[in-house]
Amino acid sequence: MDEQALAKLLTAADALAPAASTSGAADLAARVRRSARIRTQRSRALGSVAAAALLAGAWFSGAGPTRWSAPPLGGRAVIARSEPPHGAAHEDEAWRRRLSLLAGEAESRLALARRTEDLLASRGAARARVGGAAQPDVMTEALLAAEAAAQTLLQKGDRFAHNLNMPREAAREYRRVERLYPETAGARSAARRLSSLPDGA
Amino acid sequence: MADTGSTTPAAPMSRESAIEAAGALDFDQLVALHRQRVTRLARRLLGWRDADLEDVVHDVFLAALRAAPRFRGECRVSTWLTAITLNTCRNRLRRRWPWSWGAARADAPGSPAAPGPPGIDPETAAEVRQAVAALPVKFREVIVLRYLEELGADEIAAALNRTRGAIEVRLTRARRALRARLEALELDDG
Repeated sequence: MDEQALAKLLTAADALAPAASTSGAADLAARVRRSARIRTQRSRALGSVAAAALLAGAWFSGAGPTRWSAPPLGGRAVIARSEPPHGAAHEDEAWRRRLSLLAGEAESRLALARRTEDLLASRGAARARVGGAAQPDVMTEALLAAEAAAQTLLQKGDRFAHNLNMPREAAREYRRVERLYPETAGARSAARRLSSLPDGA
Repeated sequence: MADTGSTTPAAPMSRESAIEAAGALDFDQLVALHRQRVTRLARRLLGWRDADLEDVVHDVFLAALRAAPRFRGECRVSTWLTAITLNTCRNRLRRRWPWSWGAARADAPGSPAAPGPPGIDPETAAEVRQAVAALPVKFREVIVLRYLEELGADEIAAALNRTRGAIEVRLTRARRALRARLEALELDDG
């Protein structure tokens, strides 16, 4: 069967097809416009719901007791939203958990920052820095996290020193700050407080 | 819309008139000009089934209304609508249950055959339509566009967003597949 015969056969078969049974063709444009309007309204509504859900999620996760805001670099204020209550044994456990979380976060961010810096150095500083200009500054984020952890440890030391009258434990916490997070504002504060502790602590 | 000022639906349009086409005022005109052709094409692509036809035509114009602001006017409105129809039909066929794919019943049961040209009886015509409907979608598309819509290779290439060479290769393969099916029906004796 050559192409012409094939074309003839197909055309004839198509011509013999039963007539299409469509209805409602007259108001097709109006129906399409109505559908488009409904879809637009629906997508807007969905967008609003999604935005509300995001806001609610952010609000509720932000209201948790272990949520921390970014610490001021070099500032003395500690960033805990909820002050640790005194006395109870389970509070120490909460402190410990909070500290381990912060320390883990700080370490991973520092490791990431170091890897990024290595990558930047290996790829050629100029090219990589231009390319990475729009990237978030991982080093700053890592320093902030380290600062937060240092300030928390510092606050724990302050609690030992001033509230519980336990200078030895306070000195231990200050030394931890110096050892774990050197070159942070927290470490400098820890050094000052260590020197102001009574001898033998 | 696009063809304002022109009586032929396939007239080329400028970018400005394409943007104007997005306007609701001219949408009625677009539908009026192209509805029959889109319906005919969709019906052929769906294997001459009327079950989803109205929904598909509705979806084609809905997609056109939404996509009109992005239409760059680089091709004819008819080619643009053909591409939308192809995509919509492809999506519709993909959503069908597996047992209704491919070998779709070409004609609705009980629907009377239209009086056609002499030389082919209605049963043979139905078998030919079923052979086309049973082709893989990409082969069916080029067969329908080439032989029933009578588009050239360039227009098919524009509608399918392929090169002319790719379309010619696909057409050759589609013809081969169709001939094989027609031979199985013992229709390939001219």
